[in-house]
Amino acid sequence: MSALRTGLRTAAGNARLLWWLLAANLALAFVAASPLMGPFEESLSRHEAAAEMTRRFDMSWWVDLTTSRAESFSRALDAVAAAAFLSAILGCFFAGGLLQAYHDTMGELPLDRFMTSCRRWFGRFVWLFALSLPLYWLVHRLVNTHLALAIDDALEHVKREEAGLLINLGRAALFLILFDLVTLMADYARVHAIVRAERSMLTCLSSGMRFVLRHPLRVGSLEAAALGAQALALGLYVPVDRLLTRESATGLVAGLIATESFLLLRLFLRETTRAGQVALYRSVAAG
Amino acid sequence: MSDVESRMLARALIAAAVIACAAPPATAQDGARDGAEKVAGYRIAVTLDPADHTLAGRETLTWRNVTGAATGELRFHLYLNAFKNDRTTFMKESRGSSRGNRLREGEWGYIDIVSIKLAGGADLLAGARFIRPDEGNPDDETVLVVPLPAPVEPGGSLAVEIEFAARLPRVFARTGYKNDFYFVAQWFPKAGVLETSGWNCHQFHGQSEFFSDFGTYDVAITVPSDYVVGATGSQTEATAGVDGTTTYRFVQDGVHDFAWTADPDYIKETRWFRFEEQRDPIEEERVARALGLQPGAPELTLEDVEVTLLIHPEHRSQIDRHFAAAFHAIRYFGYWYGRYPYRTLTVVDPAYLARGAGGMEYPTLITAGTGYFAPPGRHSPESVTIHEFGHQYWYGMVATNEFEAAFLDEGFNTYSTGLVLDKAYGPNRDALDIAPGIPYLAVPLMEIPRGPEPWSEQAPPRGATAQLTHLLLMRPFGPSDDLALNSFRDLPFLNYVTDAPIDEVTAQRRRYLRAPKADELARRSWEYFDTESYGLNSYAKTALVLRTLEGVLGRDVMLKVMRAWFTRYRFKHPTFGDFVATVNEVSGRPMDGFFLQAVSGSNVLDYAAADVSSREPAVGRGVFGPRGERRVVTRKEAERAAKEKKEAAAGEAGAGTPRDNEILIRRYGEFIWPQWIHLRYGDGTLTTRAWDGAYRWVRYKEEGSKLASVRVDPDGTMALDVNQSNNSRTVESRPLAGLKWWSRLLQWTQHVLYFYSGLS
Repeated sequence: MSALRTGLRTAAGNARLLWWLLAANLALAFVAASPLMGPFEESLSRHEAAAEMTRRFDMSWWVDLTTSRAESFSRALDAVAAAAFLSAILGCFFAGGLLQAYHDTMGELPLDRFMTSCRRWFGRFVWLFALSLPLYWLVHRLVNTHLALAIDDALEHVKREEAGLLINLGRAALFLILFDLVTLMADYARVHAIVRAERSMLTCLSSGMRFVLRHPLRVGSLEAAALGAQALALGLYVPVDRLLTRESATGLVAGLIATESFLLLRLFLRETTRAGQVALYRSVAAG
Repeated sequence: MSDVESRMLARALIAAAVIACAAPPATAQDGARDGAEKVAGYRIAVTLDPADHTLAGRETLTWRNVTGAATGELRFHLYLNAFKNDRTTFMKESRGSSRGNRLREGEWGYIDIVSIKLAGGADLLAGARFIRPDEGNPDDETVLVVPLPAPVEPGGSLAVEIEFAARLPRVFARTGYKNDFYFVAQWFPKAGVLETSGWNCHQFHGQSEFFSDFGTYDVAITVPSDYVVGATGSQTEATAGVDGTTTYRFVQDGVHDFAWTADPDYIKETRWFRFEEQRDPIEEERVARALGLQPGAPELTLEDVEVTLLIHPEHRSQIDRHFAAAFHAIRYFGYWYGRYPYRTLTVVDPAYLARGAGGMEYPTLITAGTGYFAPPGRHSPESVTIHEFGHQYWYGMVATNEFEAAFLDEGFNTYSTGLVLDKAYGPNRDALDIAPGIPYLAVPLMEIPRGPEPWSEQAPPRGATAQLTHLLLMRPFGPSDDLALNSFRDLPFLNYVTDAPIDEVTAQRRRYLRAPKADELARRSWEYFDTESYGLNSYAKTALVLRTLEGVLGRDVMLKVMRAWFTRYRFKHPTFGDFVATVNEVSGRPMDGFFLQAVSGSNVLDYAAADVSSREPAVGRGVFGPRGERRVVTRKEAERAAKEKKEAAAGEAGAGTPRDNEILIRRYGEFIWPQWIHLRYGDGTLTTRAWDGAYRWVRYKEEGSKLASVRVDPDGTMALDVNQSNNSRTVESRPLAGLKWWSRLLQWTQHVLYFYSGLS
């Protein structure tokens, strides 16, 4: 909790950086999704039931749109995939500046120093990201293929559906945990790189792994708090969103603002967690 | 034969003797099945040995030649041999997985004929041989030819006694076991159908179902006494044996197949469908009016039916839902097409991980399909229960050939099922309200990603659970664009559409539109391009064809058509040609052209309101009048004249400014069908135009009130239309709806990117 409090304070101190993250996210998403603006507009703007369809989602229309514009949607999915990759790379860029801010000042970092740190760590953090990808792939193969097959065989002896569901749920939970574990190892590897000014990303990754495995309770509780906060944010957002997205243009704008606010909140919570990770790492190192 | 098999066979022989001494009991509803020709009657005694999942049986087939030509042989289906090895036609075509299950090493199934002879006469086994009439696969042993010592003349009959031993596969495709659960179907040597053109006895294919003759089945089933048993027909006896077994005897006439199930874990619940308690007076009146009957007419009086549900304990909470669905089906199929003529209906809930046995139809016995989670708005288990019941009509009684024309039962039944679901339940709603105001679809970001079925390249992840993994993780590793797109389309925007109810027509269109041109609709079931094409043509497209036909003929005429189809052809083997003839005759309209395009072709239907405008009339500019009276109108003068004309029109009470209206309707598809077009004006008036739909486009020009919108197929009758969203077009543009849903897409994309940026 101490780390989380510190993280909250630090992230709040650097709140303006969140706008950069949000802007980058929005710009990339806009580029990926904008080719579909035309098909949406063409399909609905002169549709007889356009007013009604502003209020409710019409599955029949959606089936028609995605079928008649299948190529556009397929290209858009490719664009989303490309944007997702770029987003990860951008994440590598911003991570250096953000972590430096959380480590150095515990307050607001000047923009030029922020950008300098971003540039300084960018290449190394891209390399660290590349190192983490095989781990993600390994988790996927182990859990979603090999373990799934083993469970599939074991389920032959299970008679009750509840038991089978629990086993499958357990596998899915294991996948999530391991997936998150890889993310946490990479997170703490970056923290190690910044705090220790370590240049070797292999060393950092190894340190990150050691840190996570040696302090599972502390790391886990911080992560659990972060997930809880994210769930709470989603729980708050959904009813608000349902209230705001009405037929009018005002409702549309209000809905957009609510959505961007929700994303901003999620970014803030994530940065809080990241700052908390720095604080936790420093406190463990100090103690 | 092993000792165990010998003992089992001995039990089967004793049971057979018991059957032979007892006459089949008469039932109150026998008269309703008088039309059923008794071609192939079976008396079977079978014993199940759960230790090694084997059956030992003795069968007496009484068969009649109802064709006009003599036959010198009998042909038998030995369906269980489809599971004998991985070289059979079934296994090659299905690639080892079907209906959500796969066959594993060591779980093979097969059937051996121990002996076959004429009743009290010559042995026939020596001359018997396997044939492969469909594709010559030498490893396929699913069709056995048995030469006869003397031909059976037209009208003649014979009795054949068969001893057989079978091993059931792990349930995989309809039949087999899973732990203590047994669903035993396609399990005995079964005669093919002799037609005028010869034997119709196809091999068992990955995508084919069945075809056989009507008759009476009298079957004694011996199982360990702790097993709960259900089967086709009525149970007439239960006799406890001395060795811890019990023999159950089931009898049913007027059917063409027999299946049974046994499981010690079943909860058995029986309720009666009592017509007087289950009446729907409003629907009864509507049907009576459509058919020209009086409400309460005998034709609309249904029989009481004893409905038995065999359900597994984990689905106990869904007992009422199963019964309600079965009762809806009995009621509406009975009202619409004719009464259900059997005394019993048994609904079976397969065991966990025995989905391969689910969703199947056998005479008076159907298998349902449900899961542990069944949100109240979702049509599960209802849709499966209703659909499989529907097969009692389409396939069970109107016994079309599922090998050669699967659409005649699957598609017709999908259409009828949709009508019952619409009537009784309304649109399907997948969302689960996990809390007030927060439907399930709203929170997939919190969901647990999972991969595809690891053993199957053909089974991409579907639905909300898989979206994130599929799109973000699986996409780089292989699934094709189509799969990703289909997944994306099935559940749009991931977490920003909180609820998306789907009506039956949309559900079938969604399936059909996956590949509307892949095949012609009418093909033999194993000759479709792929499994998906078989499914979307046999089920979805056929249902849409019938929905469109209903739109063209009108609901009441369609009801008459379908009722005539049932009443004329129940207990017979009609063909698609018979259906077309029925439609033409009952409707009084020649619909051959419709069927030629919809069934015999793969053309798609797509009419669109391509453009519409309503402009103030232009006042001409330029030089007007003959020489000597020539007048030059400049742009300014023209504009002034237009303004004056507008003011003059506005001054006349009740008259709007006359407009030049122009409408362009286009035919994008190759399917040609006449269309109605609605023109809606700003003053609320409506005019209708008819277009033969033949040419590629038609343009209407008129001067009149300001036009508001135009709509092709205003009543939404063209369910086959591959793009209904282009059917209407307004003069004014309203960008808000497009912007709203695009903004949802943008937001979805933003959260996808958020996820990825968190990995680095």
